[in-house]
Amino acid sequence: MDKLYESQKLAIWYFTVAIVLFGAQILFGLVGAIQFINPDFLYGVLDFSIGRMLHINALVVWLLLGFIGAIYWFLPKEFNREVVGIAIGKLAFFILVAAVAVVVLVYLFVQIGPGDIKTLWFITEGREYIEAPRWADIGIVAVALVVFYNVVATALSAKKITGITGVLIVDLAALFGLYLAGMFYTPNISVDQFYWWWVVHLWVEATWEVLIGVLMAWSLMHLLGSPRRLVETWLYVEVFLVFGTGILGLGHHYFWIGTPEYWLGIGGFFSALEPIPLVAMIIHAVYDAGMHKLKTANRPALFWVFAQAFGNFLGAGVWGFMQTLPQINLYSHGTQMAASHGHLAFFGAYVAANLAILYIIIGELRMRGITPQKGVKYILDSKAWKYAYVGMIISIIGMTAALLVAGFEQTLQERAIGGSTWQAYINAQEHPWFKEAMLWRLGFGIVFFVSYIILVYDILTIKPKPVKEEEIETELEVVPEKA
Amino acid sequence: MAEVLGQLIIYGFILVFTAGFYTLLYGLGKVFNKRYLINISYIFAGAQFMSGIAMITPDFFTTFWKITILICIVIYLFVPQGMWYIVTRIHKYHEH
Repeated sequence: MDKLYESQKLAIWYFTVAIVLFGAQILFGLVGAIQFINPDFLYGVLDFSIGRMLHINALVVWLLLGFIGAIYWFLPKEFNREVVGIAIGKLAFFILVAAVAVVVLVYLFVQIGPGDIKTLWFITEGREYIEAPRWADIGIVAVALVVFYNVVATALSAKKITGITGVLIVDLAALFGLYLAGMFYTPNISVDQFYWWWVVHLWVEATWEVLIGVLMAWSLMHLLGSPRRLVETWLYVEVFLVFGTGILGLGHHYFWIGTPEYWLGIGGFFSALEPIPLVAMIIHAVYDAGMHKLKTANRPALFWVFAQAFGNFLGAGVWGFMQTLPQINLYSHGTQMAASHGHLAFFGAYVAANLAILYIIIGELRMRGITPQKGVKYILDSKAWKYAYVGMIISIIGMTAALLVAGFEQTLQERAIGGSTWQAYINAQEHPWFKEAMLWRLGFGIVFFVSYIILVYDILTIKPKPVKEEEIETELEVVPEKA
Repeated sequence: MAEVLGQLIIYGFILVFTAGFYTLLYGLGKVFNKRYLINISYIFAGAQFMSGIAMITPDFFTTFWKITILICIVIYLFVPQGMWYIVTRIHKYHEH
């Protein structure tokens, strides 16, 4: 490992923890899935509210760790030098991991508090998806600022700023700034929700999307050898499209939280337009796939990139649009349709991207020590990644479809027919469409977990294979010597 | 009302889903120079347009929302051609 940049070693640490948390996310998801079928399961030990919180928080944190890891992997390659503040970067990593461990232990063993200021600071803030206590929030912002500093300082030190890093710097500033909005306490629930959505929506549908655009731009350069000017042009197009619809698409979360009525029009209109850039991006994915005839050296990475393009379209585009217009959302919001949308959108947009980048890193790492031979190229390929890939895609679609059926039934039976009464809620939960859908969701959840095990096995064992030179167009990159 | 709501959700699903398949098949047809794929893609274009029309036909939505949906389905009709033009232009510009 002596020829790796310290930053790249740090990237590997980040991805290692990320993949462990990915496993934790799936396990807590399975517990929740069982509790939908048997509510007594772990009752009083790990209630659904706690398991669900851990399931979603683990998702957010592991994706974030993967993004930070990817930045630390690509940054020294971008500037041909070590990251400036690598020591503080490592310190931030250990603090973050320790903080995550402490927060998880508190979630598991303390779980809830009396709802006073001590609860907010030391147990949970109680805000859905970002329940981390205030001290951990401050830690997250501090770690994020360290990453921001490292990107800016490295660019300044190298006296070079590329289009990709320019977008990254602006995006990181927005990402950290927006997180502060989630720490703004007010007893007015409407005001509280108004700013809380700045974190949840604008992270997921604006700053994370752009961050993924940055990481995919680097990935395509290293995976397909795409010219820098080309990927940078695409990045600008993507930023324009995502921000053009995504920022005001925030309004679809403001329909029912006590905000003025004009948000119905603003949110609905821009939300209706939100799938258009996702559909448009399909053309680019198809063009790239066709031009390179899938003859890339890193098969798993390329296939996860395609899963990202199409998963984003399906999960965010199709599943988002069908419930985004306010007249429909009035009945569907908060049902399993939202969970269905969330599962496929997060998998498509972010999980697939993180796994693609992980395989790019693995490809470069495992090529080290292999002596090049004339007429021979190396590809990263195995049977296991294909099983994991197909298993994960089938099972996430299965879970999404099952949740969609359940949500559809809730929307009609509980909301439209039953009028959202408590009895209507109970009736909808007892309906065969709901109960059977939950069984299917658990089944596909187990398949997803098995696929995860295969994925981990593949990550640990996959190695480059020699092939004839004419069989592929690109080569696996080797981690460069230290500058 | 529940029946109309259920139909609208399904039409919304079909609208974006078929718009995506229209785009996918059009792109594949162009990349691999297969005319029949482009022809099949137009079936999906028709399906997405018709599902949009089906959404605005009942009185469920007001005029503003009907126009919004109409704008969307018209844009989707030209997304593949427009994006193909942009993609090929950008690639030609940067690769030559």
